[in-house]
Amino acid sequence: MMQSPIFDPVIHPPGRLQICAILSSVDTAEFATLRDTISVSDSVMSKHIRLLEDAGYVAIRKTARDGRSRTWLSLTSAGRTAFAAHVAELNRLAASAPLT
Amino acid sequence: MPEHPTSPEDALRAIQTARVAAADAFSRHSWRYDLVYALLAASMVASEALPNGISLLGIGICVLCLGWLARAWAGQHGMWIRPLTPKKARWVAIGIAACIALLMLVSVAATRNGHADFALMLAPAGFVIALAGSRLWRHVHRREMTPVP
Repeated sequence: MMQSPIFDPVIHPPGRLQICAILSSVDTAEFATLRDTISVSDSVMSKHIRLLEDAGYVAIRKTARDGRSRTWLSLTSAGRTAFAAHVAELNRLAASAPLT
Repeated sequence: MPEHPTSPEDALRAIQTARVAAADAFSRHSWRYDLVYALLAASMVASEALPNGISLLGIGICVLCLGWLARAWAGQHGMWIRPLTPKKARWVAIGIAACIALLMLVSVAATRNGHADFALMLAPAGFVIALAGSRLWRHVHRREMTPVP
């Protein structure tokens, strides 16, 4: 089903856009893997995740492996819907932009 | 990846680049996963040629090993995609499961009719189907992830 286009200011900043893009294509991804893939620092990544979590777009699960804690992230259904709507809006804007 | 996508086109490109990077990371050293997966699928088919109780035990061990394989892969790569999650690639996963289930049923029937040797010969077919299917799943999934939705 095609999502109605809705611009989402929480998702739009580049870092959060890329985080949502990756999370929308997997079931779950680890904090460090996401951080390395989009090439940001721990603190910047934490800030992005906190904002997405506060918006209800990202769910966080912590596990322990080899004595160290790992943080796993996934998009909630609200997050998937919001991201799909945002991408639909980007596509709409791109299609309606005048060719110069 | 563009640092600050100012236009919708830049933003769409950033999404696509991130998704391709994730798909590439998930496929790193994927032959190792696919080979172990195919071996376990073949073992499930071969297990049906064993006597009843041992056959069930064999299948149980294979299922446990498949679970361990998935956990190990997710832990190593920092991400996980369930085979049935991607909309198009899920049909490949369903096809693999149907083929392996069919081979297991034929193997059971052959064993019950005293042709356990034939049942064992089906295991290599299970290996080839699972290996080819797993490679195909990755290919379909990557193509599914590449275009912006």
